[in-house]
Amino acid sequence: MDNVQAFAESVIENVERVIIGKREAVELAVIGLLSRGHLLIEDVPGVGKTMLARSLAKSVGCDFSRIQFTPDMLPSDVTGVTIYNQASQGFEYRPGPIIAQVVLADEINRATPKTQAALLEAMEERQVTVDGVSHILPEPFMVLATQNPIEYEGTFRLPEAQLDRFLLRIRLGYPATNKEIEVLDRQQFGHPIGELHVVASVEEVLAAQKAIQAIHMSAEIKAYIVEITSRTREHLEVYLGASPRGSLALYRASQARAALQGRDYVLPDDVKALAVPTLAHRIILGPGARLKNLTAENVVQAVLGDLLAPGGDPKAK
Amino acid sequence: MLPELTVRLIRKIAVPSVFIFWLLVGVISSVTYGLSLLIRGLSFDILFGLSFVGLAVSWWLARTRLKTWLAAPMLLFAGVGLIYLIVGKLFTPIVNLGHALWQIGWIYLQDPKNPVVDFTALQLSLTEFTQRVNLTGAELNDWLGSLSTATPIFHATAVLLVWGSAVWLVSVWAGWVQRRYKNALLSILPGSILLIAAQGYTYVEPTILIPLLFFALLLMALTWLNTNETRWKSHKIDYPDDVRLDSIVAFVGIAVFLVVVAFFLPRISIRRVVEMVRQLTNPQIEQAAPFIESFGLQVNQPSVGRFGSMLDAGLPRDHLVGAGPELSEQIVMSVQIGAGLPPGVEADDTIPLYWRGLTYDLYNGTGWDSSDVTLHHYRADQQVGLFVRPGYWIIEQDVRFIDESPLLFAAGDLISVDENYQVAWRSQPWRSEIEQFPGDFFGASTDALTYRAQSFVPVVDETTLRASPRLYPDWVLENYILVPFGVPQRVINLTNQLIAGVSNPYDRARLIEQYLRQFDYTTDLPPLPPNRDLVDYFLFDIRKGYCDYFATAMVVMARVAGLPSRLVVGYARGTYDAANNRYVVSEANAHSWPEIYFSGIGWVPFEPTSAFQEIARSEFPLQFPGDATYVIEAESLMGGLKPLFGSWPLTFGAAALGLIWGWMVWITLDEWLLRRLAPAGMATRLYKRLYRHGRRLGAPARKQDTPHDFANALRRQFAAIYGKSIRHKSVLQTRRDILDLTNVYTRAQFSAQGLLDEDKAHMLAVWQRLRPRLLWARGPYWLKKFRK
Repeated sequence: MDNVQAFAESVIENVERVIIGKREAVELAVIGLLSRGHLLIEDVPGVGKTMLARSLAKSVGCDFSRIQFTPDMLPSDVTGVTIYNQASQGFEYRPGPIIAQVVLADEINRATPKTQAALLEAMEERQVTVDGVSHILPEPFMVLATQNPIEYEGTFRLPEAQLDRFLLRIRLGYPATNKEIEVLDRQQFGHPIGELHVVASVEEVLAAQKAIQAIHMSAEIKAYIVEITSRTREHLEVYLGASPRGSLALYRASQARAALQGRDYVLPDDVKALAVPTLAHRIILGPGARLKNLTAENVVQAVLGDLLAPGGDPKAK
Repeated sequence: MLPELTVRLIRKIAVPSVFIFWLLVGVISSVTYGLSLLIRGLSFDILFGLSFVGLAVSWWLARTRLKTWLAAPMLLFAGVGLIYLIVGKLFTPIVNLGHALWQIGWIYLQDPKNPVVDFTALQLSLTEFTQRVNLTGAELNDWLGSLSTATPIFHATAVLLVWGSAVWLVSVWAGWVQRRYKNALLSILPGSILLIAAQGYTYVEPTILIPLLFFALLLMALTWLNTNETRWKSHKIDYPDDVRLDSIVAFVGIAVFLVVVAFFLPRISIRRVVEMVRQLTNPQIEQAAPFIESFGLQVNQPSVGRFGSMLDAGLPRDHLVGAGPELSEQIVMSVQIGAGLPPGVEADDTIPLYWRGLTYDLYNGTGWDSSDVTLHHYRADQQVGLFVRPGYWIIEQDVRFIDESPLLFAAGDLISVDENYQVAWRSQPWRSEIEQFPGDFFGASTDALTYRAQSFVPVVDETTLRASPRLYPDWVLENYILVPFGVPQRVINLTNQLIAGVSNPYDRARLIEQYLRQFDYTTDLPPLPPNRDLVDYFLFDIRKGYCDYFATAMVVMARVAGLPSRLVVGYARGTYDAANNRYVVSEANAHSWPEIYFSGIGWVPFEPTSAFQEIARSEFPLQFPGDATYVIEAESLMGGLKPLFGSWPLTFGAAALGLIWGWMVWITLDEWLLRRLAPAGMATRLYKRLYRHGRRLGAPARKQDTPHDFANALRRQFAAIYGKSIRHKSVLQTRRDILDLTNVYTRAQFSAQGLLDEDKAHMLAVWQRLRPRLLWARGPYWLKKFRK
């Protein structure tokens, strides 16, 4: 596991040269990469969502492409089109921007649901089908979708089924004052992303992805995960709780986090740390929740607070 | 057939460590047996029991990983504590105390809401316990005091304490060194030196060293064999299995041979060597002799017992007068009055108490004899006879002798003793009609040095005595009223002159008593001329004397006046030691006094000796509620508490030492138990304790907290408790240790491979560092909380 940790540490350090003071978010992004998952970065404009995606792609030496979603976008703008090539006298497939290893889907909620659906199929199936022909996507494949909070104008809310396909939802938030000053200093003469180097190869990423599958998780912790997700379903204010896919996401992500910290076994702390990022976006609150100012994060926190952690003090109140 | 069986037997018992243990027991028992022969006042059972326990405990402890520096004070404290329990006879009070506590606990368990608790038993047992501890402490104080005044006295309790401690140390050392360091010679060295030194000093035949020699030889040989076998094994040297058996047979043979040789041959040469050593060290030894004697070691030479025929010949003694009083200040015994004093009466220097030893009925002109007696054995607590007697109190007395005594002393008429005892009767009481005849008592004895006796003490007023009729039972008339043959006429005339016109027995007795009190008291007397009557010589020639003269004269004169009387020897009250609530009786208190029989009352003491305080009797009957027996009311729980060891600082010191010792024992036991657990079980156990410490330190784990959440909270709490000194090394170390333990615990719980055996040592080391600091932190934590 030391390899994975060293690999992850170098990637995180590299990314942090661009994204300053957001170590947690960067770690989550790397966890997403290691667990073969996709990330949904939700925040206001200008906090570094795009930079996070770009620097991550650059650090691991992957192809990077970017799709800027707009309301007039068509699915083929994402997946690519088949066109007639007069020179070769045949149809040939012109790949869309989705055919890359790290894809930044910027402002995904500005596209129409139809276009969103095209992206999400690719995310889940890891292939695109254009005019009846399937094209396998390269490995590793990771989508970092950003979206502005849905209250903003001119957005289409992502359907629940599609939200479920994101492994993690990350919020970046505004940097602290001193960190923001550091951002200014760094960019005095140019953007630091230009100076980023590749610190890990694609092969290393694939090997690390494979390695984390071997991370041990004790039966107690598995039960803990399942208990968390099932309690989100039973919560009074919840209309739709987390799915088994949510449990699986928490399982995978916890393994990745353990590896990130150099352990070959999962601790309850991993599960607790990742429960909100993996589960909150999968939960749909009931109508009463908004009145009570309750968010999905609150629900997950409440569930965690009500459960005896594995290895915890049985006499605790 | 037989050799084969022997061979098999030897193979069986020759399991090295068990065999070596029993050899050590042999060595130790030789030493203790020798010492018990050499030293006055030591019994083999106690000494051997003590040394066996010491050996077994250290043998067992040496196997654990306990450090020597930790084991040494632990074993030392344990030994001193154990000996103190034995010396102070504290087992029974402790059992009683435990029983009382258990009963109260049981009542609480049954009905916790409104328990009906009777604290009397607890208070009584607590009082008894403190009294015993106090007494032992006071005795040791006496002895230490006598050492410091350079007039050391022999003191059985101190002897047991000192020699018991020595034997304990020797056996603990033997077990520990033998098992831990496999060094036979070093392990038996102190014991051998102890015995040889004692033997060399006392001049006793060196044969008592022979068993020691035998066991020591075998032990050394076997240890040597074991060490070699281990070496052979580790060097992969091939050796026949029979080596062990053959060697043992050979060793035993050699040892037996040497022992036989030692027994027959070299006595003279050993003597000579001993003599030489003695001559070299003679001046010092001469100087130290009194000190050494105070430890019970005496030069073995024919000696006349200090008390002459009275103590040596046992019961009865023939000649009292002329033996001369012992005026030394050597303490004989201490007596503590337990229960029985009526309300309002305090044990102090004013109540008249005589510790009765022997009574005599026959005057032979120069001294006293007793009629024939028969000896009767009584079990502990068996009563000679108990019935209600008007004008008597039943008192309980705890008597502690400094040295062995052939006699049993108690105030008044004996009822029972809490040890096995014998009573010599001139005629036995009629058990069915004891009120008619309570027996004609000569004396009593017990082997015990300390005992609790119950007895009747007459406290009669003058009115009652005057009202007593001159009607005496036959047994009194037969033995006690005849004027001895050969008493000169002028004694009879003098008596008749004195009592002329007075018919009341009590008044007659008083007149004689008052007459004799005019004579001078002295111990500087010429010897009684041959063919002279002692009383005549005293009354008309020298007109001075000591108690024996006064008492004899009064008994004879009383008989002339028609009053049944006898002579009693024993001890006067002694000095009252208010601090320990006891009477300290010394040799100077040895006394004799007359007792006169009053019909319906019994034997009443008088005091004709002018140097002694007159017995004050109230004129009218004392008003006592109820009958003759009183149940002393239990003192209030706190009121009954006195410092256990004489003074409070000493008590607190002893308590602190006891606590430290208990803590050490607890740590050792705990470590031993923890080591027996599987690694994961140990981790769980330790972490459970850490959770508990967290609760006590104000950083309790919440339900949702993982071990790491809890550990972080606890570390933060530590930082908060120590505030500015957080950078201190120990605080940092504690914070590291908490994290360390958490990591091990979570690894045990959640990792695939779990823990290894190596982790146990690590965990233990961390925990042993952590625990005292966690406990210590409670202090500042509470201080901080209190300030808020």
